[in-house]
Amino acid sequence: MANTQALKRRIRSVGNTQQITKAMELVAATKMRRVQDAASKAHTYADAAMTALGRLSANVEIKYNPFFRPVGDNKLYIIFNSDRGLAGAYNANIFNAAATAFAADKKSGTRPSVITYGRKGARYFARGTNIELLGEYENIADIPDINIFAPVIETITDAVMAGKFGAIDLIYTESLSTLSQRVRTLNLVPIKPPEEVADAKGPAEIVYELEPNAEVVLDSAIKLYLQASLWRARIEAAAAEHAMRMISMNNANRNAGDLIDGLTLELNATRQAAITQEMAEIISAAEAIA
Amino acid sequence: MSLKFQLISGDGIKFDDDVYEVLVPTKDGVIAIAEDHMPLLSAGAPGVLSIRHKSSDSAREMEHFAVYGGILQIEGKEARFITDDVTTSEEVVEREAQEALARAQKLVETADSRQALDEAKHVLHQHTARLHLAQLKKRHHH
Repeated sequence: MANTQALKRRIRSVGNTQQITKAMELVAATKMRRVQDAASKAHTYADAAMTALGRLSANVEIKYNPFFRPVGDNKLYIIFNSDRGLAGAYNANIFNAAATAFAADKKSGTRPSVITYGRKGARYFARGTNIELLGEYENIADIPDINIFAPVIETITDAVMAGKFGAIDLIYTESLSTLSQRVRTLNLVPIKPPEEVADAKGPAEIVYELEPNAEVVLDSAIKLYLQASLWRARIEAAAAEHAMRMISMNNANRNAGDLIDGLTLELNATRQAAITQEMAEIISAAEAIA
Repeated sequence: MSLKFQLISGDGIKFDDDVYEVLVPTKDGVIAIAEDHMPLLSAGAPGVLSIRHKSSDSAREMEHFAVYGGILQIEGKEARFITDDVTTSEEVVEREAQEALARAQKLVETADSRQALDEAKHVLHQHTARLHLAQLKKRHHH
């Protein structure tokens, strides 16, 4: 027969855990709402940057721009993961997606390089033998200062111009809804400008004046595109992280509740059994005396 | 006579309205755009972007923003300026902007590599734009 003392202790301990998971769920929910708002703004920004770049797609200058026709053999992955755990399969999903991509690279003889945002990723990718870890950034705010990506953009620009990378992919998690997240692999380079929609006064027919010249405008547009894509990926990733942490903490909370219910039942049964036993003993003793 | 102007930053749409005229800092200098400007894509420069809402508005009534480079895109009656960051005149204080500018100048002087110097110059341009914005705000309050 289980000891009622031990059961009580376990119930108390699970109760404490439940309090923690409940608090973490609330914190994640609050953070998520704040970041979701920023994510929709980042969306607008990224779309606008992409449109501006799309307006240049007819220009001859892009035929020779390495961002549109990169020549390198290697591939760079910029991977957004989290600093902290307890967010369900958030990081595991990202690492799986990365591993699949690396495996495909191995077949085609490409050596992957990685820049990671998040402590978990820095640890994970540092172990990989066939990967060149170019940079790791930790403790990035959910909605960081926009200048945070300046070093990475410089690395990318230098490497693409020097013909080091033939492709650059972003791997991050995006939220389809609060309850559904999926890992997204976005091809950052080579740049594929969106197809122009040819409506009545379609932009394809407009001839744009470029000031001061095509090259400078293209450079600015590419920089804006890189910045907007990274910015958007970071905020989407943060929103997804908080959503997944909220869901996993909600599950933990429910599991703790179930555990407490089960243990309480067991405790009651045990106590009842002890009472029944004592009663039986008293009755049999009274009968023996009588 | 009006132009639909949008100012878009990483923090969403900062301005979206019909205006009379916009003064935009570009790499070729400040340009004024109004309705039916020719289609244009221009590389933006750090500086102050000023919006005149109505043709009768005086300089005092113009709305100002500090921007830090980006792309100006004009087509027909619509124009937009896309930039990574925008500072509104409510967000700057002249004294703070001046101090920040002094710090940025020191950074430029003490930069010990090409990269550090580029970054310091970038910061310097940003703070110059902010200070300019703060001074405009002060002038219009008096």
